[in-house]
Amino acid sequence: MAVTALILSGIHALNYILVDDSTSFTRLMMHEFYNQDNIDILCLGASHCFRGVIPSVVSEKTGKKVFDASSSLQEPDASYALLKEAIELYDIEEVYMEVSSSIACRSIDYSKRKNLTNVYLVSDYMRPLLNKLQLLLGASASRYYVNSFLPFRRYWNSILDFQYINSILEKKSSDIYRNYEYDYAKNERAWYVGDGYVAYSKVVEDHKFNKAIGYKHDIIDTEKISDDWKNNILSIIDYCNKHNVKITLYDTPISYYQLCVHGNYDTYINFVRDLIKGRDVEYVEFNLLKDEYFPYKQTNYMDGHHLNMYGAQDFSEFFADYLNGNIPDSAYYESVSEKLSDLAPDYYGIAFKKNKNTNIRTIRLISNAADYYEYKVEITKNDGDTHLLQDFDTNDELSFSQDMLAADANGFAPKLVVTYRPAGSDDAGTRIEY
Amino acid sequence: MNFASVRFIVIVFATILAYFVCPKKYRWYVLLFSSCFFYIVAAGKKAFVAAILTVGIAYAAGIWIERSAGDKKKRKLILSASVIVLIGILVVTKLEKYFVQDIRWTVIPLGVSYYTFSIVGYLVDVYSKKQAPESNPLKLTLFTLYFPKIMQGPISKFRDLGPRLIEGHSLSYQNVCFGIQRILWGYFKKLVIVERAAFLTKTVFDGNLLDYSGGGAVLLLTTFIAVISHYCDFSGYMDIVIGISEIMGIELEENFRQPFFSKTAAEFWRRWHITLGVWFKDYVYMALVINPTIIRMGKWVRDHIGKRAGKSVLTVIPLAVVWILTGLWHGTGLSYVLWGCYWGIIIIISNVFSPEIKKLTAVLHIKTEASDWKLFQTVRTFLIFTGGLLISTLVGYRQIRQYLWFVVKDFGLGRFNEVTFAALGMDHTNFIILMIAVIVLWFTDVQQVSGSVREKIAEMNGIGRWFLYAALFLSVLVLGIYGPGYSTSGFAYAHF
Repeated sequence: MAVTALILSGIHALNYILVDDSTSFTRLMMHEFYNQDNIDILCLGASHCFRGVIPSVVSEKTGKKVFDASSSLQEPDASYALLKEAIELYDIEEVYMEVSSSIACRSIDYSKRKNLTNVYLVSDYMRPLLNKLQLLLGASASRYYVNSFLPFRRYWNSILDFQYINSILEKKSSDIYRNYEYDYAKNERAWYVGDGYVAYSKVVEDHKFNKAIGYKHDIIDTEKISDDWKNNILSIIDYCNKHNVKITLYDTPISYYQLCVHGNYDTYINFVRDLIKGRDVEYVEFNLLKDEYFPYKQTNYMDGHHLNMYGAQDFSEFFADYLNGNIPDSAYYESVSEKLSDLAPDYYGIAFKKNKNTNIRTIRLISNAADYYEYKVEITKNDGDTHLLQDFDTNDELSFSQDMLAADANGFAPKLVVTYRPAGSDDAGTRIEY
Repeated sequence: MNFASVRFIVIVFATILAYFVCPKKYRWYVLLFSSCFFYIVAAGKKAFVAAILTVGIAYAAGIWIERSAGDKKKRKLILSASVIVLIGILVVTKLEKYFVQDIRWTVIPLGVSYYTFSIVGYLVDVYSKKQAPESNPLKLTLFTLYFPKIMQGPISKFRDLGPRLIEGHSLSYQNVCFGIQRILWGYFKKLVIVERAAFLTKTVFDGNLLDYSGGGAVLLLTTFIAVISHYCDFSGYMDIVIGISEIMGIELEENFRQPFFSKTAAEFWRRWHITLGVWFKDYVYMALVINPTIIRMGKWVRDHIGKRAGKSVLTVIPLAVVWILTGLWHGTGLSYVLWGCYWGIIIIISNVFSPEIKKLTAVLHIKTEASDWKLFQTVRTFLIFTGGLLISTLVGYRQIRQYLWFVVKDFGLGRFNEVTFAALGMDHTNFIILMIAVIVLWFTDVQQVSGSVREKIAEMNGIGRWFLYAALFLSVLVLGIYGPGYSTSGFAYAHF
């Protein structure tokens, strides 16, 4: 017994000196999760949830205690573990389970997982009980168990790095860390607000989306969604049904830009509908909302997928209305394609991908209306020298050498400039610099 | 199966639990079941069938030998035939890599080198009436496949181990403590030293030495690390299997007794892979010493050349045969034959010229009991072993020449630095940990020479003992090379 106590103390000490979680939002969320009087509505999921739903706003408007038990890239197995914890601890009335396509489409069978950071984000702070054990045993192949159960093993290489250890001790001995507060000095653009919500202040200006796409997750292929993802979603539904907790699957609205990049989002919606067929569960896809119920603003987004703090405020108010039963069924389109075609034509920004082998960058000009716009694409150097890649044309995909965007000797990188206007029009168009 | 895998640990834990839950009378069935299960999981069903076939041959031959009690010729014929078949299977397995693809022996039974020797020893003992044949084939199966020792031995004798396996042992606090201690020490050697040393030794010796550019100084240190790693690999495995058995009250033979403190090559082999040495001594060396043909040869040499030469024949021929066979047991390539010859020649010379060596030390006024002389002898034996390891490791003349060129011509002391080691795969942190671990190993072995370390620990105060156990456990847990990002290799001797 004494030896066991010594070993456990040793493990605790090693975790303390080697594991750096001083900037972890999830640590704060989990601390609050275990210290609530009660939770009425539990929101589970990944970043769409903790960046999109502000529990305090929803709670105020509904009179129910709402909590986001969500973390970065959180997969359904971790959500399932948190659900079990929540039902053991609180009188949960409703569960909202985020089923974001980006998490589903990147899922792999858990036995093939190599990076378990998203699991550890949650498991490291779970109570050392059966739910944690079940999560970690099922989350990976057995060779990963050591890292799963002993967090310090992930950092053992730093065991002789006394500078690192000192810095950890310094961080962990601060009042902010010990009192589970957020150190605002560490991140100006994102901070933990409370009840699981993390605010992001970054804003994407109109037409200024500019992100790399891999085609891996951007074009939805439901065939690749892992059985473990599906089984855990079904287990969550069954578990809620068993405990008489109402469950709803949902996703927060992603940007129209992202819906266009996907191109086939309806495939995913149909996939989820098929998956849950015959089960006692609702599926609310907020991406099908009509503009008059949830007006679209590109400045509500921090990137293609995620609402920023302004968007989260808008969505949370809407979500509270939804929970209060104020949103009619007619507020939704039948499909995303119907929605996009019903919208006024708009140009959102560019998506690009780089081919490392050929050094060629391919860009796509993203709009909800194919052939409606014509685009002029140029590369402008700092000295004003301009290289025309495409004069006004409806072509919305073009490639050029990556070197053309390389910085000059002074470190100035050329700008990619897109000017768009309705096809056939004579006006100068709208000029956007990236 | 990897001893650091969760699967192995689960099998061991379940076996120990089931062993003590079962009534004493049936405990050996638990071991039998676990051993068969382990064998199938680790080696596959085909290999299991091949191993069972070996047991079947030994079982039938043992019974047959006993039933032919009055017929010496028949007994000899049965023994010879069964030994030829068993050794034949072993030889075919060893030569598998030389066969063309189409006729390759597709099943290589796990631990074939070890259990074949154990089972041959059993048959010889039955033949020479040192051992009654086992009438229960399941007991013989357990002796052959006993799972902790199946991969790397020790090579046990049925008359010693058989009864210990069959007897139901009681749960003992001391056995559990000592067993866990021993297991942890084995894992320390394997995971903290061997797997860490592999960062360096694999880069240098598994790669092409002709591409190496680290200089002779680094190469020499790597060689010494490889030697220590080799010892830790094999003895670490033994610690684990002995520890597992000890928890269940089953005593296994020691296979190592601080071999690097040996003063002569012969002593070294009485301390290194002890059960293999004992097997060769009992079943090959002694058989040759009393062989009428060799005795006749010795007489002829005595009559024609001299008394001392005649006496030497009785030593030289058996030793030469034993060492060539020992080399071939380790591997079938030319390097292993050379390795066997290397050790054979050293041991034969030190044996035959023992009087001259004694005279020389007297003439040189060497105080053989002085500590400096003992240290010299210990270092010499270490270097002899290192030479042997290089013979079996370096492939071909060009590699050996390259090695010597580095040591003699390009010592490169200036390159003996952090950068070179890092380039070879050993970063600063790992190097420091390895050096500390080797010092701990050396210190423990020194303590063991002057008495059992475990008994010394048992005599310590409770709190000191607890701290020691916890420190050992945590050092394996923290400093061991295992888990994601690392591919823990099997034990080196598991290939034999």
